[in-house]
Amino acid sequence: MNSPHVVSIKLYATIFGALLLLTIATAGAAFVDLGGELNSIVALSIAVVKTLLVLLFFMHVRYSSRPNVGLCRRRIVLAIDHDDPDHERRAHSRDSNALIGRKPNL
Amino acid sequence: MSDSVSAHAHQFDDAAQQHEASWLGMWIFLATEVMFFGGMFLGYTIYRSVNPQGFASASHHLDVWLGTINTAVLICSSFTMALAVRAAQLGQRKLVIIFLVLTVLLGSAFLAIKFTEYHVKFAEHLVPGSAFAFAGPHAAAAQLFFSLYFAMTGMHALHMIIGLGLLATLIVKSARGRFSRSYYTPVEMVGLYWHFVDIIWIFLFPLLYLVGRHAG
Repeated sequence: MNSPHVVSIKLYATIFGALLLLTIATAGAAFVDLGGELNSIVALSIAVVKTLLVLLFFMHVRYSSRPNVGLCRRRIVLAIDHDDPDHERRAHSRDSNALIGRKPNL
Repeated sequence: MSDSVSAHAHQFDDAAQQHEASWLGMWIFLATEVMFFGGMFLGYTIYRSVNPQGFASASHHLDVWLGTINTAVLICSSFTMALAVRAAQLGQRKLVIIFLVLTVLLGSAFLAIKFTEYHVKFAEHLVPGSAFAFAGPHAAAAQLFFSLYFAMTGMHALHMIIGLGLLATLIVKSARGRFSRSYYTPVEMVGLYWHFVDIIWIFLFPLLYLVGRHAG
């Protein structure tokens, strides 16, 4: 937030162009008989690639700093652990420090 | 969300923490949206695997050209949305408004094309119900396909309409100078929502419009 990653217009335009090309590729590939279920596999694979492009660049997932994600994950873990502290204490009474950093067993 | 330009709400330590909370909340919301649409995608997968030929012959009644054009229109709107968020990051108020308006126009174009397609389906008696008529041996499967078609594209269109409402409020807020380089979280979050709706369509397009096209 303090210094957001500003993506260049050139990169956005490149992703935009790639998404349009992949759309044409999906529509085109549908009219070619690739045999069996291959048509569906190709169509869905292209959709997954397009989704990744949108997620990584348009939705800035690529630029989300690791600490940010890690921090959020740790907070969720702590929130779940704190849900029933008595139970956790009974179950892990030997080493209370093990609570921190422990993955929730959900 | 805070009304002032850069201050944070009292329950947060600072603006960065407030932003992080919004970010996390938005992604959790989008995860629930994936589950919401996921149920319909699962239903589609099961019924298509049971009726592959029926789904293919029903899919042939959809207009591939309009579907492809609409996909392109939606991708264009995602592009202008990304540029609106970029302009917000740089505090370029006029550009934010221009790109948001462009996104609204493209989103409206998508809905207009969708409306035209729906109209044709009503005229051709392809809307599930008592008036449904489908020649050939796959009438029951075709009705199932069109039920899923209207449920999925209808829910997607509803999300688009909500998105247009959100964009309209952003345009008003931008014009009133509510956003700055240090506070533009709503623009960013609506951007995430808009891109998510785009991703749903990226899957709907091949699954609904392009089934078994190569077979004629």
